[in-house]
Amino acid sequence: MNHRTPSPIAIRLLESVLSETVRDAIVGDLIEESALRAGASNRVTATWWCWWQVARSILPMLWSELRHRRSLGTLSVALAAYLLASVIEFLSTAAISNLFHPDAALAYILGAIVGLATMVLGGYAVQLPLGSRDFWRLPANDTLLAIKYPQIATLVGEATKVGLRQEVMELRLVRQRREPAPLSQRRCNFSKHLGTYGTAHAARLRPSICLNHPSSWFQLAKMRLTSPRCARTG
Amino acid sequence: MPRGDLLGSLEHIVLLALVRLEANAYGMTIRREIEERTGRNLSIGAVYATLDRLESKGYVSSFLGEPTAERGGRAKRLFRIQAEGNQALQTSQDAIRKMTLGLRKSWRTV
Repeated sequence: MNHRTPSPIAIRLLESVLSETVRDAIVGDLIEESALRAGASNRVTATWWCWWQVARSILPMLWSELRHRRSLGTLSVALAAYLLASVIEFLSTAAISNLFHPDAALAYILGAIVGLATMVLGGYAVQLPLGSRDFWRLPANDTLLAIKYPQIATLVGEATKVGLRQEVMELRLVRQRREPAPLSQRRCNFSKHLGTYGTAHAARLRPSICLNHPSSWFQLAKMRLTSPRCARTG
Repeated sequence: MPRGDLLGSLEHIVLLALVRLEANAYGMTIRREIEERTGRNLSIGAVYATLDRLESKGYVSSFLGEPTAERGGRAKRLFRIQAEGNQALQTSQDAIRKMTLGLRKSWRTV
């Protein structure tokens, strides 16, 4: 650290919250401007300025880091789902214990049903208002998402015959040849993504069913992929 | 410009600072330029958070400069406005100009 650095502690504090990609640039800027201020006024003023900058920079930089890593969406949804589930669980347990003796088998069964229903409904309710937000979109470079495009949906059927490895290879080839627009430019919300993703996985896991039965999971996946609602809205 | 969004006020100011500073645009100079011209005392973290956002939108690009002694041996991260950033800036400027057209008289009487 340079001898003109007004406050090494402040600098180290800031360094601790910054990622490697921006650490040198930001700390370097702070050192450079602090030195300029120390030369123009005095060292005490520069030290105060440096501390003030660090105190004000920590929050925006943490926010930026969270945004960059896209963990904020996951964290907030997990927290909201947990809170919602806890409230419903608490209320339902209180209601069941009023109706039945706590040791009764029916109380356990009802408790399990309520618990499962809470998880499903809680997850569904939480994703509703956030369905069209960017952080819900799966990465555009995910090969499996190539099956979203109707022009290559038929190739997935072939791919299920020969297994996951060839499927991935074929989809990569198709992506290279046709270069569809990135998903970020298309509007397709989380539930549609999840439906497509889930049914496609089911199709891959049960190739025999998919190949032998016309009304199989795969047919459903294919139908979803080629439906005009989800296929081309971008 | 994606989804027809206009720039936020800080994004707008930071992009204008980049245009003014040309090849010498990095965190410290951008912060000082904004402070000198607008009197707005931004934190260096706020400037970088805005630049990071603009970079993720494709409006600016960044590259590392050489480390220097006055920066404690740390490299500068220089920023440059891209064609999309120029277009976004133009769109925002146009929108403000159109919205303020003919309003000067009303402002004075308020």
